[in-house]
Amino acid sequence: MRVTSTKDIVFPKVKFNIRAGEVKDLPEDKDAQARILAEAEISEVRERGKLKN
Amino acid sequence: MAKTSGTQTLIGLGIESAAAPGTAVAEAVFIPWTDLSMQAIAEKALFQPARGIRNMVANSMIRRKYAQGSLGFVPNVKIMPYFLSLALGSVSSSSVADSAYTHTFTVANTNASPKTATISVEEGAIQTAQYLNAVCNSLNLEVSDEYAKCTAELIAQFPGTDTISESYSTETEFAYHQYTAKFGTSLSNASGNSATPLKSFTLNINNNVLIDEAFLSGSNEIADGGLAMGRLEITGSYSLHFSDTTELAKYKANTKNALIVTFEGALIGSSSKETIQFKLGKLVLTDPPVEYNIDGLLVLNQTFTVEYDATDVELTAVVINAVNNASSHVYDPS
Repeated sequence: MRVTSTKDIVFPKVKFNIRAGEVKDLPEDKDAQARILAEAEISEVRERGKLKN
Repeated sequence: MAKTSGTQTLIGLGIESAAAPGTAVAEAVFIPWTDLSMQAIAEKALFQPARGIRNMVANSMIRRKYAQGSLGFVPNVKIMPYFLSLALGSVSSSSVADSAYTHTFTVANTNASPKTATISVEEGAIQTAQYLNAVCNSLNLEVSDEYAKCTAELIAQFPGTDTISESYSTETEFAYHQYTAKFGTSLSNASGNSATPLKSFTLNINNNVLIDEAFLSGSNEIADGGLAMGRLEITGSYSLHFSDTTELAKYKANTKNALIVTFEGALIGSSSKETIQFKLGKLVLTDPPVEYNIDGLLVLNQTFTVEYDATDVELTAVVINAVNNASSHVYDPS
């Protein structure tokens, strides 16, 4: 899952940081993912579907 | 033996439900603190009878168990609303306009049910203390020629334990060059006037929490919802260059002015800015203000108390940020 943020945010315990506007993969750990997604400034980036030929 | 540095102390805060003060809530904000003294207090009473020996103390007990201390931070639009909610008690939040939300904090006169918070303090790997039913005894703001600084003095129940997983976002940390002060005969008059350059400004909101009323028979601890606010005192000061008699005349004639102090930061929408604003209805100037500096400039140090006004009330604080409190209710859970 990829996320983006409206602000620069650091999560020291889950060893994750993200800059405002950056799109980044979440860490593998499920607890870390839940903690990061709980932040109001962070939102999931939906993958765009591939176009068929 | 492991040593723990001060910077390993991390603080999280969440405002508790109004229906359940003293019930733990998750941290909604993590505070990059600059000063901290919050801790458990086990107040002792000493048994000092005459028993035929000279040593004064023969026994002791814990008279009161609670927590008290202060927390210092640089104000920004993320942290400040939580402390304004705790210090003033009432909040009204707008719906979105230009990507921003306006939160208006006013004095709640129902002093027996103040807003309460859960505060968690992680002290490195030693322990994480959780303070429930925390109320704001006082909130102080000071700014001169540096970063502004807020200090909240808090009183809470005796701590338990907790765990936290903190996060820190980069915010506009407000400083002296980001605020303006406008005086006027009323708040509406002040808002239309030009800003007056100040050397410094302080504001103190003192709730005079009635801690002596929190200890009743059957327990030496504070019960859930057991802390009530006392009488509200709003005081402060500002200093400015003594360049004409306007400010001195206010003190001499007890001319009561309104004051609007506004900090503005980054743009949120196309024109909305991060804002912390204090609207003070009626300032009563209490102390003789002139300071004669032989090596410097003449300065007026105005000390004030805020008087209630039927139209302008005593104090309204406004925060503009990107938090939709009307739906999340992080500042005022029901």
